[in-house]
Amino acid sequence: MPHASNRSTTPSAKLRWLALILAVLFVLHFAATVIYTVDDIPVDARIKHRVSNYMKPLFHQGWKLFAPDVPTCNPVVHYRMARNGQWDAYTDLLNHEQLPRHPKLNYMTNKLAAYLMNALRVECGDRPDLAAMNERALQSGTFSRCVQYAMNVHALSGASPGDSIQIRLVLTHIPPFGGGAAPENTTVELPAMPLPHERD
Amino acid sequence: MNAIDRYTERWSSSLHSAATQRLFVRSIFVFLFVDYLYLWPIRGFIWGEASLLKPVQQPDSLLVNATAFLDHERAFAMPAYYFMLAASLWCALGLRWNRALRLAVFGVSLMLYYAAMPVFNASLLLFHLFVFFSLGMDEDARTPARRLVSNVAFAAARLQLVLVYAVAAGYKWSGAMWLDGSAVYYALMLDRYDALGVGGMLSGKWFIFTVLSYMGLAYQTAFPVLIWIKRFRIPLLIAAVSFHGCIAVVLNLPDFGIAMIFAYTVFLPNSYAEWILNLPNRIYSKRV
Repeated sequence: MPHASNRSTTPSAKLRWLALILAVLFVLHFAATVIYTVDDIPVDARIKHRVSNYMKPLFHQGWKLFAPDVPTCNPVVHYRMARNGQWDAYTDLLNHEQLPRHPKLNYMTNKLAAYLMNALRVECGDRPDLAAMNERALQSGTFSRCVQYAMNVHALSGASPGDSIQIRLVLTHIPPFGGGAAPENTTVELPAMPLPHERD
Repeated sequence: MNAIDRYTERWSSSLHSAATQRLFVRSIFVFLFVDYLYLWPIRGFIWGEASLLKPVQQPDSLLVNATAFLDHERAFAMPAYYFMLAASLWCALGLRWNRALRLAVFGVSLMLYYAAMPVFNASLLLFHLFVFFSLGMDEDARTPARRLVSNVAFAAARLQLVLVYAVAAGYKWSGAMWLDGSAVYYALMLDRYDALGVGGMLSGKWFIFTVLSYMGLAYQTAFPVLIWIKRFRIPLLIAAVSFHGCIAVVLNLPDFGIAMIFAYTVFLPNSYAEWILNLPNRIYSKRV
């Protein structure tokens, strides 16, 4: 009887192999997750690169909302168009009258501003170095995305696109915790971009 | 039996928390359906002809290219959106062949995400991971191999949720604002999170901001540890629902708050999950 009972509960070789493979995949996947989500983990750069190639397309994640610290300013993107060398006034992308009122559109516009702030590496308390900012902007995909976004928002109004477009990032500082006045707004004007002329 | 046999036996002999697994899988797809449906009024601005988001850079790896397909081929984006709504509803209702559809949902949702990244927050990313784990979950598993895969996938989903809190809490402990109690104040002063104006209403009440900051930090630190202890599970889940309910309303993150509440079903005791799953039947039979 003990023999029979033993035979009935001992897993088959196939099942044992499956369990082993799953255990290894489980450990590897979560090791990759930790390496990918924790910035300061002391791992070789080549391993980090490989982990990133594995995680980013399928398992991308990040858990840094309000961490390590919360931003102390509100970033906003404005844009303006030039026609025959004359610049229009700046328009706030967020409060553009052509955009429908939907919380997710506001969220998206705000997030683009935050992305741009990160791409330019502007901190809330910085006095930005404009030359370095412009260089970073021209190399940044986020800057191009913001310019494209502004052009698309502008196109909604049906107005002609103009010759050039310029965007600026305005940081409105939050009054310090415990009381006191907020620092003055910081404005970063980014390089004007010529727009291609439509062919007749 | 050696250790490997014991482990294999334990994980393949029965489905762990079968009702919880079933409820959790349903919750994943209910959330996805609601999250995508919420974007219905502005779907054209996100994925349609009038999309405000256009491709800028070619991604640098083959897999990124595959997931970024809709970012480059926008003509397919709207059909993909409609498919996503229908498929997630199908899976949420637990209809036939829904396990095969889950793979399609995983791929299409990733592509929709990469075509509209600024629209989404981390909640959709977390649910992508859950959809991936749900590929292994088989709530009707009858063979030991299927039960084993299902149990491992379920454990992975649990661990993933715990990692979210562990990583988030770790980062917060490394900053200054959560330790000096000012974090909630600054979060509520950010325009994109303070839709209700709560930050302004509490202006000057520094003590309240400090208490809220410490409560948030304490909860996120305690969750990854205490959730594994059965007697803390229900009080912790109640605290979790309150915490994320507040985040959903006060911090203008309804999708994130609701996502986390749905995600907690992964830790719901089996008897509670059974009760929830049987609720529609009970309501129906009472009416009849």
